[in-house]
Amino acid sequence: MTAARAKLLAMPSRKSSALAIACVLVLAAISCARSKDDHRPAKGSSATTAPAAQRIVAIGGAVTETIYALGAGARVVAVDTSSGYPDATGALPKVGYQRTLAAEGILALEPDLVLASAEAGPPTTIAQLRSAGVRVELLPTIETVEGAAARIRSIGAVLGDRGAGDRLGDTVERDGNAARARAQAHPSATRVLFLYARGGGTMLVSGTGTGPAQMIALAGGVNAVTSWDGFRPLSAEAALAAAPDAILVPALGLASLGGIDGVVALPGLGDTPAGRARRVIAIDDLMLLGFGPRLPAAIDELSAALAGP
Amino acid sequence: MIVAEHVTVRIGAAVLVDEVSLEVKAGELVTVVGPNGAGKSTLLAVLAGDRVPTSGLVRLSDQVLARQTGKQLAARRAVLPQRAGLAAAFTALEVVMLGQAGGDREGRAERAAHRLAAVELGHLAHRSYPTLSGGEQQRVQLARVLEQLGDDGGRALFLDEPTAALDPRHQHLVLALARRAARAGHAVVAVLHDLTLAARHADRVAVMHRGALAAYGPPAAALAPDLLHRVFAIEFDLVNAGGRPLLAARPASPTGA
Amino acid sequence: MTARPVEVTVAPIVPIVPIVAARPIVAARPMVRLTPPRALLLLAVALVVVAIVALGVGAVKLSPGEVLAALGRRLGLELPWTVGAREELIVCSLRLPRIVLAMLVGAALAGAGAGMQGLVRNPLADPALVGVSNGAAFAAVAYIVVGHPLALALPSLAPWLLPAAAFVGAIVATGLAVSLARRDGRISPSSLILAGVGVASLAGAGVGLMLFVANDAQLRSVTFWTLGSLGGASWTLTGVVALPVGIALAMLFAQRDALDRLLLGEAEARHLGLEPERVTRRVVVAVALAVGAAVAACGVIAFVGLVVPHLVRGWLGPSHRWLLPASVLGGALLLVAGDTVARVIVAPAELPVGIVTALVGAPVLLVMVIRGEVAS
Repeated sequence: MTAARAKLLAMPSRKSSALAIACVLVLAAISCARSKDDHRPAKGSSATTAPAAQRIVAIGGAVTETIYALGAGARVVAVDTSSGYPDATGALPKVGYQRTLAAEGILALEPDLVLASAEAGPPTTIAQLRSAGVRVELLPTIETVEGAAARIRSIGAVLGDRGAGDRLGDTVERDGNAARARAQAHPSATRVLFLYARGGGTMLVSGTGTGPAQMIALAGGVNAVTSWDGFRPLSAEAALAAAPDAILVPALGLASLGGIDGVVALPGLGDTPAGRARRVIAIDDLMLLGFGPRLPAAIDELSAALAGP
Repeated sequence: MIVAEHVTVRIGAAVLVDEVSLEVKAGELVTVVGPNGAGKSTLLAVLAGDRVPTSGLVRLSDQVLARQTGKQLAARRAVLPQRAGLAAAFTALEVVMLGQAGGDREGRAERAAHRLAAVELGHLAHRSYPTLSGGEQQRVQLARVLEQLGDDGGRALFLDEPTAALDPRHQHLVLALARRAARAGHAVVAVLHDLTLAARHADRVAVMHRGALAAYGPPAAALAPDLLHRVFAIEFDLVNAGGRPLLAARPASPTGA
Repeated sequence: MTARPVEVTVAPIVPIVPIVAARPIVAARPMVRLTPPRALLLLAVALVVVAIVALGVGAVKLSPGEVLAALGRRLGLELPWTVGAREELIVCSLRLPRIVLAMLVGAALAGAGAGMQGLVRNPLADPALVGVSNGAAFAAVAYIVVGHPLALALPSLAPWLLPAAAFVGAIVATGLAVSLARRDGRISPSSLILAGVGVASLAGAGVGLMLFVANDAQLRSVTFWTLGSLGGASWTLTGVVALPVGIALAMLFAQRDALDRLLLGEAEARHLGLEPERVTRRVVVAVALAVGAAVAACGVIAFVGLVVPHLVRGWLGPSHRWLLPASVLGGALLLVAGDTVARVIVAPAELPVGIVTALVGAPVLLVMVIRGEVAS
């Protein structure tokens, strides 16, 4: 055993101890010096006297759509993956899925406003954005005509253009109610089953108290499924018991299910009146479920489809 | 130093070891021989403290084995099993060092290297253990066990068929090392298959037959051909080779003559 | 017939080679080009370098001067460069705690992996084998799907409920696996693996059940969580994780010689004075703490616990004296590097870091299998 080898064996314990201690000291210093960023109160406020935001990050399909509808589309610098309308959003950078946003990515865009649906998250990212001094406004989705109008007005206020917001909101409310009235004046009373592919091979069927259920009611149809609240996985028995006359699916979902053939091949659906008649109605996802500016048009389109053959 | 008192091992109706009492003194090399199934390995396991006998007890340096903790036993005795597996690519040197208890690292590596040289594997110290032949691996394990034992004497060494995979040169090397350990003051017990090896190196030989001790004494007395014929059911010729005994089995001729 | 002694002259046996001054010729070990201590130093240096690089890299472009200035601002130092509060936030509140968390989690997962592989004497073992990851996942998913009332009842603790649930799930699952594996006070590697796989499967079934009743939003949250992400890093979280991880790594390190001896097999380890049950208990507790904390903090990050110790073993050999610290450093390195990639590759969005580690880990594992380096 040479002296060199002995030195080698002894060396690392000294050197690595020193390194370890140095690292610990540096980390300790930084930890101690940390500001109370973790607990800083939210800075985003709904002060309408703030200057109009020029760099907006829009989260949520309906929120984005509303911003464009209010004429502020040029000020949007980035959107989330669910914002697909209008087409201009296609060219914008995407900050990810609305529930799993990254703070630094958004900060890199130097926004002065993040306008988001209430589903935006995770909460830590929202807090980090506010700590950075970015104004973050979260708007709840209320799945009624009145709720849609209210959100449009709120967005208008946040954008600094109350007038446009109120006008569009009023329009949507008026047209929406009119569409509802038309639909319910001559209700088709079609029994509708709303279905969507949740991913992972599971089909979910809407019961009562959901957005699709509300749309069906607005369009003068009847929700074929009333035995549960919320969404439940599709089962053949439930489908047969519901005996729908029509199956409603989001348009993207139809493609992923393999078209009408795919839909009627699902368990139980083929033997329902809808299945036998191959009556599958597909409507654009965002328009149908977004409760945004196109809500009146959505009601009309759905009620026409329900009334038709 | 090792005292077995009426040790019996029973499993169900089978009696593996039948009322064996013996004593092994420090400085002695005792070999245990017998046909397959005679209970040699079982007896060794009991003497080493691996197995608690159904009745009877074993004392090591006047301490009852069954009452010792694993750590206490490890300080008092070392065991070389018949086949020691190793689930990792240690070097031979590292394997030997596994037997060491403490001390500074540099000194330990040096001692381990010496130990490997003693088993004629010094040149393979940094070879990966799984790449060694079966015999070489066995010798590395022996080196490890000898490291655990130490050279101060006063401990017990148990070897279970240590010569199984070795060529003749190394068979004698291993037993010479066992005898050297005995001379250093340890009590050494080795289970062997080869009667000639047993006769040549042991101070005393224990002959086991159906779980019982058929003979226990110096090789010349214990390995008497009549006894061997009875125990092994085959005849032996005792050959005197330059003063050393050589036992050659004489199988019955195929024609039955 | 009696044997008759026959006079035969036989050459005397070749005497034993005297031990005295013989120096063993040292044949170099083919796979190691560096001595282990030097390798550890190399890893440590590489880790520091990668961490520094990671601090300067992100969706927001910052020059090295700005990074230093941001650090200085936080520490209250006067430096030639100045930056604003935004840069300080990005460097000191977003990136730095995240890098430290990545180091802790990577170290925890790789250290636990090395410990597991030594304990069950199988280089393909993974901490998940004792059910710890699946137990944490089940608890976390259960919280996401049905735990909302709890969040409403304890609003101030709400952000901590998910990690707490995951940690509790990890510990409970591991405890269950250990108690099922115990027979007459003994726990053999195979019974531990079997019990762990059983518990993991049970937890997995629970996860499936939860997913079945989850709605769209919950499913998305679960998916994100199971892919593993360091995006929730904060100094508080990092500090909370550091404690169990530190304890666990210390416990594992204390078992390094015992784990080496265990590789001889349980019987031989006993002969050497080891109590395998004690070692098993300690290693499993350490694994539960380390992986439980890691999974609680950032979800399930795959492959680190399996691949890092395996690579290190091929490089530095199986002795835990080097394997443990090198795995710890290697795991930290891998995760800091992986998280940096995750942060920038699809900016302004982020990949879950578990995807990056899987994309790196799976091919490495396959290459090892193809080259026959995976020992059975």
